[in-house]
Amino acid sequence: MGNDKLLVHDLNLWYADNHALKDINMNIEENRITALIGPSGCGKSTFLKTINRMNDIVENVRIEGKILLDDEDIYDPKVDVTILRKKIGMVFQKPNPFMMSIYDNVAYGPRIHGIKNKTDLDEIVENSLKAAALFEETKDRLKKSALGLSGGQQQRLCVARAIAVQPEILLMDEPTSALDPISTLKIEDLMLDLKEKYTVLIVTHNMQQAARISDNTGFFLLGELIEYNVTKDIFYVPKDKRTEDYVSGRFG
Amino acid sequence: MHKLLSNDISIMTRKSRKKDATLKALIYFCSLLTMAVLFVIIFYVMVNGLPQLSLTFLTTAPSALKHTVGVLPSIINTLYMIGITLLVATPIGIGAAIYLNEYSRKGRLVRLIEFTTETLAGIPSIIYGLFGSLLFSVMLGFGYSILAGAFTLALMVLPIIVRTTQESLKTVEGSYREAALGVGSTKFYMIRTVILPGAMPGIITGIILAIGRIVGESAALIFTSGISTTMPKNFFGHIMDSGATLTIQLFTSAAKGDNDVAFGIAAVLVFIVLAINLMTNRMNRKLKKI
Amino acid sequence: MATRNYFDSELTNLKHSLIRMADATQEAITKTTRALIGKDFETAQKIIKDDDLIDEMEVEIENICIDLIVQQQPVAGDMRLIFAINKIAADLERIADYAHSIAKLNIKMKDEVYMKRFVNIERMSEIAVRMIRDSIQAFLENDCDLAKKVYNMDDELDDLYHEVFTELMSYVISDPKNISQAMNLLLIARYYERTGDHVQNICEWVFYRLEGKRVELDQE
Repeated sequence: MGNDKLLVHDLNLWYADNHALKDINMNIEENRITALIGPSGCGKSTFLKTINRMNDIVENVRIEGKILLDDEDIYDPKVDVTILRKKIGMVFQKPNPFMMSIYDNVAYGPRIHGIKNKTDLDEIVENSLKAAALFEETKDRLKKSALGLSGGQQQRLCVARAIAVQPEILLMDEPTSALDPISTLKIEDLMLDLKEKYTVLIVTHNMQQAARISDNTGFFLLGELIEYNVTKDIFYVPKDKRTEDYVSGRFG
Repeated sequence: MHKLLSNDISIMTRKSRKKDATLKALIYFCSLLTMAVLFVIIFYVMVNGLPQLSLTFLTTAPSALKHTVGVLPSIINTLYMIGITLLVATPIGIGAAIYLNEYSRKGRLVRLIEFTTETLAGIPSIIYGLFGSLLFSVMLGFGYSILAGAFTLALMVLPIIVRTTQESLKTVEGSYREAALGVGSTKFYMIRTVILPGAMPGIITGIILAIGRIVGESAALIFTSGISTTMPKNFFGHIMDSGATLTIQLFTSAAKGDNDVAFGIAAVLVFIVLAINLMTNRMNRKLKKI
Repeated sequence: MATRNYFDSELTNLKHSLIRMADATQEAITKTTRALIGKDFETAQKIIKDDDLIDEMEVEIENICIDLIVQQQPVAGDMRLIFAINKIAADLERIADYAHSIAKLNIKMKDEVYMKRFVNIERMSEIAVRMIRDSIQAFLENDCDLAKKVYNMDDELDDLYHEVFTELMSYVISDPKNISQAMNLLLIARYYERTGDHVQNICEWVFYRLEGKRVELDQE
């Protein structure tokens, strides 16, 4: 059993009057892949975004509760959000590389945090692309536009961009739902590699994906965390009938 | 099943569609007419104006002594006008658009500002001219000067820049913002390095539209920058001098009855417009490839 | 819930296939015992031939399970149900094979006069058939208490087997010429006793369906 990287205590979130997250309590294990599943609108993406405080940019959001990253509450007013976001990387559903070269995309984060030396940047770019299983395919065209890559490659570039700042946690919001089946499986393999160095939290609609790659799974429904357990239990012998109905597909 | 929908008809039969054919012909005719109008205008202007384009015409100032006409001062004044107007309007316009799109809360204030901008764009330019002459020429004491004209044009052109920049910012994908913030960027850095470059094609289009407006403006400049056509004596000081742009000189020539001169200037203006359009096209194509 | 109608109806068909196979197996045991006692060789032949049908039923169930796994990616309760049914069909097929073997022994002994009346063997057959019926019912109704009860009925079969064993031994000792028939009859009794063992497997699958893991019921 691993350590707990993140501890979520009594997390509640409101979008204006809409109580979107209700009393969420969860421990996210270090160096494991934790999957968040649930029907559309159940709050799993919202929950994901509370972890790197991306909900801060949404209007009319109110958050109560604590999220402890290595025993520090990330919602403490003294927290510098840009440093927090360096520690917590995020990959989105639709691949969104910046309109720059592949190199500049990956170097974007490190440059923000003060790395200017070309050799250092070269090294970081190469390592990040290697970790994202993209280096071999792009090493000869690092200065070309990122938009020339295929969808699956672009998504791996987004992973490289996220890990270039050496985060500790990687948040992934349905990272493969816009990709073809082969790219999807490549990214899944990538995630299994990534979990050795990072703690991965993934929101997914793809039940088989969650069953394939995650160690722990949390089932969200209407803003509540209904069941959170080892993935095997959730998919083999779920305790709550609602979980059973959802994973068996007998659900809207 | 309804008789008309039955599948007894072979796919090989062709129904005669007379209505479609006539409509098609009508549409072709309309587009041909439009092109014809454009060609006729350009042709007429060129036929009357090209003979006027001599070396003297293009490279000297009008001289009463030598009885020659020249448009060089006007060309220079036009350039000054474009330069100063853009210098003033672009930063303000882009800044306002960034504020409206990226920083402000989407509420009544934003909608009010957008409504105001739309309305400003529709006000007749002569009103701008009147306002400008009162504010810049009289109250601020600029008198008849290029500066007064440029400031007036800046007011006119501001809504265009704000609007096109805003639209252009909106086309930049929201997830870029999230991706940049997610890596630890501050809001301003994100705007500078990701959003603005992404919106650049649209912004440049807006600027080129503004240039077109500046070059073609007459009513707003008559009361503010005047009709003088003397060569500038001082690079910086010239902005306080009165100076006619090409369009104004065209107006004054035509008013005096020098139709030949007027057509000559018209030909020059047509060339400038064509050049601007070609530049826009090339710029758009280059930027689309990125 | 309106979703997965097709899957649900396939699962219902699968359960019905299992019931049909269980019925056929029960009938095979009942008939083979009656044919044995009444020296009905025609029925015995039919049982031997019909064993092919029961084998086909097992293959059919297996194929349905494979199709459902590939097409529907079942998880949780659905997965456990399909997996268990596949395994239970295998147990039923073995039991039907015993009925087949008993019929063959029946025919083998056709020219012999039975040395005793069949009391214990008939009893064993009745118990075996009841066990099959009740274990399948326990499975389909998720009835753990019934499953445990059926599991323990195997003790009766074991006891009866030992009685048959001792009885046949005494017959052989008193007249060694009896050894051939005694050995066949012992084999037949063994088949019933093994039937009980297979039904115990079925009972364990009842618990698997509920708890998702293999349970050793003799620990209870």
